[in-house]
Amino acid sequence: MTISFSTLKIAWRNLGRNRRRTLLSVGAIALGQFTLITVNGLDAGYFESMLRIVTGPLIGHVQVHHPKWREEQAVDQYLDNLSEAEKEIRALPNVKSVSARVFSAALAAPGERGRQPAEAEMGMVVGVDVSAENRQGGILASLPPADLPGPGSVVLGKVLAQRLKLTPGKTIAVISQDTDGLPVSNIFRVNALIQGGNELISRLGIVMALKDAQGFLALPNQAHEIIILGDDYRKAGELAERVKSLPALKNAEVITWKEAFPVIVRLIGMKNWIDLIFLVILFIAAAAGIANTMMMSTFERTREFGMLLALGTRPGRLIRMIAWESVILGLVGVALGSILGTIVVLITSHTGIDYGALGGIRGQELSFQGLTISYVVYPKFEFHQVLFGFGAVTITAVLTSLWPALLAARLEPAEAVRS
Amino acid sequence: MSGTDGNFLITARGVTKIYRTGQIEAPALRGVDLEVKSGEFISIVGPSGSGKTTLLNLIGALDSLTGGELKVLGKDVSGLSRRERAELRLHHLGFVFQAYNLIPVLTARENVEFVLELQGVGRERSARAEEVLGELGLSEFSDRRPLEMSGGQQQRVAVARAVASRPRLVLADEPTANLDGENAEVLLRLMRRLRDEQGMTFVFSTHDSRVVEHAERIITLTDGRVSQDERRNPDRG
Ligand SMILES: Nc1ncnc2c1ncn2[C@@H]1O[C@H](COP(=O)(O)OP(=O)(O)OP(=O)(O)O)[C@@H](O)[C@H]1O
Ligand SMILES: [Mg+2]
Repeated sequence: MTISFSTLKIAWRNLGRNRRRTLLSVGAIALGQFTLITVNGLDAGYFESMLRIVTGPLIGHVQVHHPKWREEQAVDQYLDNLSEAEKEIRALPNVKSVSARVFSAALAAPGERGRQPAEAEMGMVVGVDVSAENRQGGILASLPPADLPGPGSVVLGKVLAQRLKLTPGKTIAVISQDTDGLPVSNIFRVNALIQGGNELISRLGIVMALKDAQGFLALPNQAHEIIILGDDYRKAGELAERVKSLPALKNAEVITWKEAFPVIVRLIGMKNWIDLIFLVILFIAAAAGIANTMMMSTFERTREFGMLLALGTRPGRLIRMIAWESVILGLVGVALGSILGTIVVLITSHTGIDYGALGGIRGQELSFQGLTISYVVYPKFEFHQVLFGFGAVTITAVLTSLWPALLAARLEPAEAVRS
Repeated sequence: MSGTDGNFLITARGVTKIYRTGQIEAPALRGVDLEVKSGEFISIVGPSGSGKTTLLNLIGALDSLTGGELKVLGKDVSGLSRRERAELRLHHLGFVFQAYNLIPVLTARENVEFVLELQGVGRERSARAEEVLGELGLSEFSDRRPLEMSGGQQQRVAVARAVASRPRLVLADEPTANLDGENAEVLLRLMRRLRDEQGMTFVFSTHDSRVVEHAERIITLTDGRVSQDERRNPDRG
């Protein structure tokens, strides 16, 4: 199909005949595309930060446990021969870091009597790889190096510390059981408190270095959990397969972050629906705007079309003229919306948007399923959303113009020029 | 085009046209016989509703006849498909309507260019359009859009467009109906000049007796039939 210059020229100029009407539909389409890009950019940014947290040091890309651990979390459901297992995992390609954790339910009380003695509280001994957890997203992420747990010292979850009326510098008595069910106890110095962060840790956490916890619980070369970070969370499945085949982990359960945190998978599915909903809204806005404009503008031009047909204009050309008018209308709107939307998304992707402030909330973070997510969202520009918008509007424009175009093309020229 | 019927550009034999709307039949032409030679300058007159527009539309292959035989430029128009009629109009006929002749968003030159483009004229169409407007003394309106011209100026541009591809037959249905006497006069002189210089055949309908003065042949329709067909020597004021 050749597009003659005059077809485009006429289509373009026809849009200028009723400026108000044209601007109204251009505005509706632009608003639709703007909303599509900004809303999707916002939730793309939101989900990306959520994914970054989920696939960070806390949950990792791949986790290894005793097969019963996730169900029962009993202290004797440990992975044996930890040093060999870690060595084998590190030897795999694309493995960035490997760290182990041990957990054990415990009772905690202040190590020395204060003026108002506090009751003993439920807690959880968590032995961790201190340097791995000190990275962004880890259990100890918020702590300066001086506050990190060292030999004989722990950091406490803030809520637990408040209940025990403990502050940094005090001591804490911890009672737990070893894998044979025998009681073990020890006194540790409280190095610091963990502000925010993981909710479970905040309520129960008695976090210490892995070595200390292993000694305390008589698990010298064992762990309850191995966290593996690969170079790309999207390749967690492949990594998990390779980990499964390691001899040292023959009987272990190997899962990816998706299995460890299934809610996120559902949320990602939800994002796709949100995107789709806004795309549909855009379709409808475009269809309504264009259909209205095209219907009105073709019906009031019956005589003109009759004249064009009388001169010998082929009906196909008339259809193309009207379709182009509609497509140009749509494209101008979608281009305008794209420019504005892109600018807004690009700017806010640097500055961030404080959701909390928008909702009147002061805090900086919210807790979701034990994860801490910042209220400040950095929208993410996704070019494919712009393309989807262009595609949706172009298709809508062509489709909505077909009806008036076909009506015009089927006019009897003699009737049309007479009217 | 060759094969005109014994030098006749138009031959009508017992042409009838009945408009049907639902059950109601409205006979607009009740048997028209007519022969038109190349180079004639004809006015069709008659009371309102006598069938002038209907006849011009049939000759112009804009509509299909109900009965009879009609040959235009040697072609039997009743046998033509919708598409063939469009081709005939595009390449061999020129039209001037009472109003709304021009595409409102195009300038005078672009309007002329548009039909040339439809006819497949290439790059030279812009120059050709300018030339036609120039020949008809309309150069000053080249870059004006219809709304920027008077009714008389618009009609003259419409004539320029109708003759731009040098058709052999130009049909005009009440081309002066919206013009005052002076503008009607100017338009008719323009048409006459084209006939004289280029040998085009003009058939136009009118209600205006001053316009009729310019015709060399006056065909009067009454009630769907030719009631009078007279030849005369027009005043050449
Ligand atoms: N589309 C139509 N449907 C039904 N009847 C029609 C139609 N077009 C024209 N007619 C009728 O056909 C007859 C001839 O109409 P036509 O328009 O040819 O007359 P006319 O001589 O051009 O009149 P005027 O001088 O008013 O323009 C009229 O009676 C008219 O009512
Ligand atoms: Mg008429």
